[in-house]
Amino acid sequence: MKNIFKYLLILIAATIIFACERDLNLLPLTEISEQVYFKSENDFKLFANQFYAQLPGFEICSRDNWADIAFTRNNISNSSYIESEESSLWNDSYSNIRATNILIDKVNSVNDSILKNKVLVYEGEAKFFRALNYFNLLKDYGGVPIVDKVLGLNDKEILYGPRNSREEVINFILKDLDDAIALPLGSLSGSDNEGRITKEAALAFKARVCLFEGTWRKYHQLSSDPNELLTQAIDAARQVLESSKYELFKRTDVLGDESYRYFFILENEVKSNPAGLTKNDQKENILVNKYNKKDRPGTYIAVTSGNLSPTKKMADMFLDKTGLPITHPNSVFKGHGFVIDTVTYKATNIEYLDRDPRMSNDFIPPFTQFWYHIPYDRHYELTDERNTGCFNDGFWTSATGYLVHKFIPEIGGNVGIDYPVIRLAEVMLIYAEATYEKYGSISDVDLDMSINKLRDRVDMPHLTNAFVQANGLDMLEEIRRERTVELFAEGFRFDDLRRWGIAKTEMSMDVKGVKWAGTPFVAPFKVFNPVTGTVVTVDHSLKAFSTDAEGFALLEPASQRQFQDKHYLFPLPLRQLTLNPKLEQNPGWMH
Amino acid sequence: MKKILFHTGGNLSNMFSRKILIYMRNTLFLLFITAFNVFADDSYSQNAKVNLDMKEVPVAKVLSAIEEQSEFYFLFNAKLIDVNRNVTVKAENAKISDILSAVFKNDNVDYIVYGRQIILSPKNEIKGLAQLQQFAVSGKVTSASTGEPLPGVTIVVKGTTIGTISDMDGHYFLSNVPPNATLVFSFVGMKTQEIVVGNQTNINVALVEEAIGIEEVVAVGYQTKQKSNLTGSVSIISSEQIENRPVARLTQVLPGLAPGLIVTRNNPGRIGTSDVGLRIGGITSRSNPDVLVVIDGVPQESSSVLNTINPGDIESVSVLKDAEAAIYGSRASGGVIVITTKRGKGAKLSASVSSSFMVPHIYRQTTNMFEMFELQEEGWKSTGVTPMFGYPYIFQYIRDNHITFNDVKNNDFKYVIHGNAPFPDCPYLVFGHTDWMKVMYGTAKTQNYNVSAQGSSEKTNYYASVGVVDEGSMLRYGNNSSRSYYMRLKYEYTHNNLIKIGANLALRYQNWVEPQDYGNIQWLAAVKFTFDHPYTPKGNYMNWGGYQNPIGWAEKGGDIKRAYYDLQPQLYAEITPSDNLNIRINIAKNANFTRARWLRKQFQHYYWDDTPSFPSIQPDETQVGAANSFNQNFDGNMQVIYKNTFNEKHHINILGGVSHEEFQYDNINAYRNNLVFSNLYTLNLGDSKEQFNNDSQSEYALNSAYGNIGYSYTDRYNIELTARYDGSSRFAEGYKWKPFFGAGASWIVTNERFIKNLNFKGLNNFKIRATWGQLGNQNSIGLYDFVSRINISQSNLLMGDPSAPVRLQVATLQGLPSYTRTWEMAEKSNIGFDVDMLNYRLNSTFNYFIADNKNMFYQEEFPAVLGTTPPTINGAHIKTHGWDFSLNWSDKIRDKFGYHITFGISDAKTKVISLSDSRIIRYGYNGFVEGYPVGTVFGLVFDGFIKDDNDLATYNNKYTAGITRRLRPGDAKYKDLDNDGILELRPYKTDANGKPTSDCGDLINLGDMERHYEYYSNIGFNWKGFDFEILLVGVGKWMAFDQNPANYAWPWVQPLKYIYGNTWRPDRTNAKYPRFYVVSTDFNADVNTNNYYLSDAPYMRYNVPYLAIKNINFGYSLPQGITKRIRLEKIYIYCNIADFGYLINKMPKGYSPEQPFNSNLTPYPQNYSFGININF
Repeated sequence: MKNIFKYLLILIAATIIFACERDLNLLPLTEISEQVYFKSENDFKLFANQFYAQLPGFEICSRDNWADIAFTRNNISNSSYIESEESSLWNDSYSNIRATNILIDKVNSVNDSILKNKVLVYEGEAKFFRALNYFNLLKDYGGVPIVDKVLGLNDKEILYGPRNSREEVINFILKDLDDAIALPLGSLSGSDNEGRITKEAALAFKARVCLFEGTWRKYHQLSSDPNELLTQAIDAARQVLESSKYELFKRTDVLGDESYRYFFILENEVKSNPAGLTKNDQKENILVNKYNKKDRPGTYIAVTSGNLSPTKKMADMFLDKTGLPITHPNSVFKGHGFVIDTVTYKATNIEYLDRDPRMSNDFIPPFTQFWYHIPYDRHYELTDERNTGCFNDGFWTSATGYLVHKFIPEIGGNVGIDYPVIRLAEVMLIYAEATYEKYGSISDVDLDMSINKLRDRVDMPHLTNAFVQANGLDMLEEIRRERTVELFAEGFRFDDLRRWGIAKTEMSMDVKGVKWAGTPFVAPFKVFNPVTGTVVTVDHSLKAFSTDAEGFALLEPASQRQFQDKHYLFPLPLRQLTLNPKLEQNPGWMH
Repeated sequence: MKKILFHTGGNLSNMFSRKILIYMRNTLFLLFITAFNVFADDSYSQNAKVNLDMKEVPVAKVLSAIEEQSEFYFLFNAKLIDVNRNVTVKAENAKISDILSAVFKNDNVDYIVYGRQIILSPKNEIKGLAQLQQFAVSGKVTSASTGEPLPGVTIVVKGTTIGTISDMDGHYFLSNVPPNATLVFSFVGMKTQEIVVGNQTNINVALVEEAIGIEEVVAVGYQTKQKSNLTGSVSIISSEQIENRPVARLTQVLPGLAPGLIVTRNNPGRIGTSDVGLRIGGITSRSNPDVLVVIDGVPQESSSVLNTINPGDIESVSVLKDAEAAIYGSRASGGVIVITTKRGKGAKLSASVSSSFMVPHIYRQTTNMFEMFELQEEGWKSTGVTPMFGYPYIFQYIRDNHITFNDVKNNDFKYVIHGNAPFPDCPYLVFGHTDWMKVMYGTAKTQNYNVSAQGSSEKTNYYASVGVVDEGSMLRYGNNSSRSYYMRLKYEYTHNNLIKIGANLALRYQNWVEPQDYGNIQWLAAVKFTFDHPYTPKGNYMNWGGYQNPIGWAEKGGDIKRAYYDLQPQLYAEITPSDNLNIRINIAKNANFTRARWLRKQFQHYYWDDTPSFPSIQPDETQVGAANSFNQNFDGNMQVIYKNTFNEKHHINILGGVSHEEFQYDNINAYRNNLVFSNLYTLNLGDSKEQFNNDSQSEYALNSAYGNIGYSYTDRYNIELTARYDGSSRFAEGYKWKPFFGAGASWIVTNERFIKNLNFKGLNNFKIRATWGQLGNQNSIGLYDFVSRINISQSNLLMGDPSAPVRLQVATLQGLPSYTRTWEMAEKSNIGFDVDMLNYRLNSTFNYFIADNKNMFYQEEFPAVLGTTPPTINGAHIKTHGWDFSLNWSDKIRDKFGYHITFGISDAKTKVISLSDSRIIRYGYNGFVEGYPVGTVFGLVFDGFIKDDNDLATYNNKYTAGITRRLRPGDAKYKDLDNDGILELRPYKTDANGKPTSDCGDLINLGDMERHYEYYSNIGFNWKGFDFEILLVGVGKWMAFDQNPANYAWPWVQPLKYIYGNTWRPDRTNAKYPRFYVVSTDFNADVNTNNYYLSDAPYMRYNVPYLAIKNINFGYSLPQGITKRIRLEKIYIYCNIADFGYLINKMPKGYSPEQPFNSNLTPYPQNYSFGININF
C-alpha cells in the first residue's frame, strides 16, 4: 500500500509537469496581429502598397476585342453571352474595396497628430483606389451597393441590402476623388516613391470618370444633369494640361517615323529602340503600371497568339494624310489591299499609303521588315512568309489579316514595358470631347491645346472648325475618331461605344478583315522578300474565307451580332442575386 | 541439469498477436532451447522392458537385476523399505513398472521415477520425499493434427512461476514440480491444456489447434486487449501479411488488408516518395481528417509517417474503424491505425534480401504521326475550313512521296520538309517515330535488405534491426535514385518485477536524387510529338521548339538532392505496484529534418541539321537553391490502468491518462538565379543580385485527459465507457476545450449456456457489438484563425525610378477571424458482429456504421460585397452511412493442403443534411449541397450528336441563347430541360406543381465522384512448404469524367490513340466521340466547350469499376531437414508480382483505372520481386 502511494505521488508530479510544460495559448510566429499593427507610417505604407496590384495592366488591351475595332471571336463582342454565375469583376472589386476601407478606417482612428499627418497620403491613395474600383463596377453594372466601411458578418443591412443608384455611386466616386485630390497625394519624396498616385493622376482619373458619366447621362437620357459632370471633366482635365509636368512623347529626331510606336515599348533593362531611349525619356505617362523583365514581366497583347486583331473598321478609321476620312470624296486614299509589281515582285501596301502615320505604327504592314526577337534570342528580324497576309500563320496570328504592332516589343522573352494607365494624350482627348459635349462646339484654341497636339506629334494636319466646315465633316465624329485612333488597343472603345449610346448600331455591323478577293491572296503568288533579297512564292490560296460583296474577309456577319439594349449593362452575377434577393438584376436580363 | 524459472505474470503473450507467434513457432525459441542440455526421457520408465525369472530371492536382488538390465538404479531408505523380504518374480519382456507393482503389491511402498532413478518410499511419505527430492515431470508435446513435435510450447506449473518451454523435438523437462500440481501447456494458436500431474512423471501432450482470432490480442486505445473483450470494430494486419511483400514503403502493402481501409495512390511509378491517400470508414468531415497513426503508443503527426518506418519492423497493424478509436479522440475522427513494432522475444537473428524489377506497365498511348495527321485532316474537313498551319503541304507531301509509317519509324532522317511546318515556329518537319514513353522509361531495379536481431531474458528484452531500401528509377536518363536506411533499437528492462523501463529509437535516413524538374520531364515524355526525334544525327538533343527534349531535361536540366532524417526516440516507464495496477509514462519526440539542394541548369537544343536552336531556359531562369526544414513534435502521455477480477466473473479494466502533444514547423528556403557556375550546389556561386529567401514557422499544441472503463461479466458481456477532455491551441480562448464521450457493448452469444446447450457444432463463436462515440476533429483548419492577422510579404509590384525599381513589400489583412469556432465532433455509431463457424474455419465480420457530424467546419457563403473570406464555422451537418463485411474460410485438406479464401467489401455514402447557408448548386463538382452526397456533379443531359444539317437547324432554332452558333453535324446536343430556349448551366428545378421554376436551368445530378463498393479478395494455398497467395483489390462503382479528348483537338497536341477511328463522321454516325475538329484561337474553342460539357454522354461520363491483381506471391520454405543440416532454422524463398494488371478495367487503353483520365504521369509499374528470408 505504501508503494502504491509512492507511485501515485510520482504520477501527480508528472501530471503537473505535463500540464505546465506548454499551455495552449499559441500565437502566430510569422504574422502580426491586427491589433498591434498600424502603429507607424511604414505600417500604413505597406498596407497601401497592396492597392497597386489593382492597377489595370496589359490585360485591359484585349477589352478592345469586345468592341468593333478588334476581333477575336468572343461572346461579348457578338453579345451571345448569357448571365454567368460568378464574376471576378464583382468579387475582386469588393475585395479591393474592403482593403481600401480598412486603411481609411485605420487612418481615421489615428489619434497621434504627427502620425496622422504622415499617413494622410495613404488615405488619399486608398480613396483613389476605392474610386477606381467603384468606377469599374459602375461602367459594367451601373448602380451597385456602396460599401464605405469595413463590413462585419453582422452588417446585414449592407451585406443583404439593395443596390445604390447610379447617381449615388458616381457621387460617391467623385467625393472620394475630390477627397483624394485634397489630401497630400504624391507628397512622398525619394525616387523610391516615384510611381505612386499623384494629384494629377487623381485629377486625370476624375476627368475620365466625369466624361464617362457625363456622356452616359446625356446619351442614355438620364434625368440627372450631364453638364455638371462635363464641367468637372473639363476643369480636371484643364488642371492636368496646365501642369507643366507632362508632355507628349515625340522623338522623331532620333526615332523617325516610328517615334510614336517606340513610345509604347520603352524599356530600361534592354535597348528597346534604335536610339536607346528609356522610360525615363518620356513625360507623357501620368500613371503607369510598372513592369520589368526580371521581377514583373508583363503579358503584352502578343500578336503571337492572335490576342488582338484589328478589324477593317479600325483600319478605315485612320485618316488620310490630308486629315480627311478615307471615305471622303477628296481623300487621297488609294484603296485597300496591296499590289505586286510584275517585274520586281515588290509589294506595295496601297492601303497604308498617304495615311495617318499612326496606322503603320499601330499595325504591321504586310511585306515589310519589322524587328522581332522571339524568345531565346533567335532573331526573326523580319518576316517573310509570316508577314505575307497575316492570316493564322501559326502563332503569328491575326483573325482579320491586320497585325497589331502597338505594344509589341522588339525584344522577345519577358516584357519590361510599363502599361500606361493614364497618359497625357487621353487627358487631351477628354478635354476636347467634354468641351464639345458640353457646349456643342469647340474652339480652335481648345482644339490646339488638345487634339492638335496629338496631330502635331505625328505630323498630321490640324483639326479646325474651318476644316470641318469646309469638308462637311462632323466635329464630334472627328473628336471621337481621334480618340479611337489614339487610344487603340488601350481598352477604351467598348466603354466609349456604350456611353455614346451607339453600341447597338456600331456593334451590330459585319466584322471584316483585309481585302481578300481581288488581291493576289486568292492564288499562289510571287513576292520580293526584302530581308533575303529574293523572290519567294507565297500560297494562301487554301485559306478560304468567306468574303463580303466587296471582297473583304467577313469574319462575323451582322446577323450573328445581336447587341440589344440590355447589353449596355452586364447582368449581375446570378450567384450574388441568389445570395442576396434584394439585389435587382439589370433590365432586360432573364434571371 | 538446468532449472528454469518462468515468470508468466506479465502475460507475455498479450503483447503479441497469437497469430504472429504461430508463424514463428518453428523458429522463435530455437536458439534459446539449444542452450539446454536436453534430457530426452522418451518415456523410458514406462516402456523399458526386462526379463526376470527369480524365485524367492530378496527384493534387493530383484532390484539389482532390474538395474542390470536397464539404465535405472534405485534409491531407497533401507530402514523404511524392507528389501530383504523374499519374493518370486517371473516376467518376460515386462514393464519395470509392472514388476515393481507386483513386487511391492502387499507392501506399503510406492515408487516414483526421477530421471534414471527410481525412488522407493513408504506410501504417504512420498509427498515429503518428492519435495525433498524435487519431483520431476518430463514428456513430449506434439501437434494433435499433424503429430509433429511442437517446439516452444510454454509449460507452466499453474499458480507458480515454475515453467519451461519445449525443445526442438517437443521434449520438455520440469524438475521442481510440486505434487498435485497442474501443468498448463500453452502455445499460440493451440488450445491451452491443463493436466493434473498426480503421480505421473511422464506426460505426453498433443495440443489441439485453435482457430485464429478468438484469443487474439490486439493493440487498441493505449493498451492491448483480448479481441474477445472488444466492443468495437478492429481489423488486424499481422506481420506475416507484410513480411513476404518486398516493398519500399508500408503504405504499399495496406490495400486489401482490412475491410474499410481504403488506400488510393497517385503516381506509383515515381520513386522516393509515396503519394498515398488513406481513408477509414467513409467521410466524416469536409476536411477529410487524416488517419491518425499511432506507433508503439505514440500518436504521430501525420499519416505520412507510414512512409518513414521500415515495413520489416512491423509486428502488427490494427485498424480502428469506429468509436473504438474514440480514446484517441483529439485527432481520431479519420480512424486510427495502431502499429506495434517488433519486440525482443526469445533469441533470433534473421535476415532478408529481395530484389525487384519495376516495369513500365500502363502509360499514355498516343496516335502515331500518320494517325495524327489523318485526324487533323478529318478535323479541318469537319470544321469546313481548308487546312492551315502548313498542314496542306504535309498532307500533299505524304501523298506525293507515298510515305508510310514503316518508312519513318527508324528515325533515319529520310523525309524532311522545310518551311510550312504545321506547328508554330517549326522551321522544318522531320518524319519519324519515337515512342517517348518507351524511350524515357525502362526497367528499374530495387533492392531491399533487412537484418534483425532480438533477444530476451527474464529481465530484459531487445530488438534491433537495420534495413536498406535501394530504389532504382524507371526513368532511363539522368540521376534518379533513392536509398533509405532504417534502424530501430528497442530495449526494455524490468526491475524487481516492478518497474519496467523501455527505450525505442527509430531512425531513418533517405537520400533521394531526382532531376530538378521531374514533373516537367514526366509531362514532356507524355505529350511530346512522336515524329520528334530524340537526337540529331550528331547526337545532340533535338528540338525545334514546342515541347522540349525530355532526355535533355533529365540529363542536363539539373538535379535536386534531398536528404531526410527522421528520428523517433521514445522513452517509457511502466510501474506495476501490484498485479492489478499499471502506471505508464511515455515520452516521445519525433524530429524530422529535411535538406534539399538543387540546380536548375540550362542546356542547348539543336535543329535536325545540328545548328543550335533554343536553350532549354533563359540564363536568368537558372537557379541554385537550398531548402531546410526542421519539423518536430512532442508527445507525452501518462496513464494508469487498473485491472481486476471479482468472483471470477466481474472483470474490470479502468484506464485514465493525460497527454500533451505539440507540433512545430520551421522551414527556410533560399535560392539565387543566374548561375555563374553551374555545377556546384552552392548558393555562393549564384548571382548575389538575384538572391531570394523566405521562411515559414508555425506551431500548435493539444492537451488531453482521457479515461476508459471496461467491464466484462464472465465471458459473455463487455461494456466500455470512454471520456475525453481535449484542448487545442487552434481555437480561441473559451473555445479550446471540449469533452467527448463514447460507449460500447458486446455480447458473445455463443458463450451463453442456453446456446452452448443447444450444442451447435457448427457455430463456434458469435459476437454482437455496438459502439457509439464522439470523435473530435480540429484538423485542416488554420492554426491561428482566432487572430486577425496581418501578413507581410514581398510582392512583385514595382515602385520607384524605372532605372532601379524596387519590389514592394506588401501588408495584407487575412480573412475574418473565427472567434467562436470550436472542435467539430463526429458521432460515430457502429453495430456489427463477428462470427466463427465450422470449427473456426469460417470467420465473418460485419459492421454497419453511421458517422454524424453535426457541427462540421464550414465556410458560409456571404454576398461578395463582404470583400473577404468569411470565417470557417461549425456550420454544417453531414451524415455518412456505411458498412463493411468480410468473410474468411481457411481449412486444411488431409492435414497437408492448406488453403484460405478471404473476401472483404465496404461502402459508405455521405450526405449533406444541412448547411448554415443554403449552398447553391454549381455546374460541375459540388463539394457540399444540402440533400446531396458529398462531391455531387451536376451536368447537362446529352441528347445525341447532331445528325445532319436539318437536325442542326432544328437545334439552332430551339435555342435562343446559351449555345454556340457554330455547331456542325457531329457535335453534341443537350436537352433544354425547362424549355426556355436557353441552355443554362444552372440546376433544373421544379416547383410544387412540377413546373420549372423561374430561375431554373438545365443541369441534372450526374452522381457523386466517390468510390463505392471497395472490395478485395485474398486466396492462398500451402502444401509441403510451398505457398501461393493472390490478392485482388477492386472498386465496384466509381464515376469519372473524360474531359481529355477536348485537349487533343488542338493542332499542337497529339491525339490519344483511343479516339482514333472513334470520332463522328458522316460515314461513322454511331461513333462514340464527337467529330474531330480543329481548335485554335479563332476556330471552335466554343464548339470544344460545347462538346465537352460535363454530361451523361457515354464519351463523357464513365463508370470505372476495376479489379486489380494487386499481388501474387509464390514461396517455398525449405524442409527443416535441409535447413538443420546447414544450421539454419528456416529459409523461405519467394517470388512476388505486385500490380500485375487488372481483371476488370473499363478505362480506355493507356489509363490506369486508379487514376482515371490522368495519363501524364510516370507509367504505372508492374513489380517483379525475388527474395529470401533466413532465420538463423
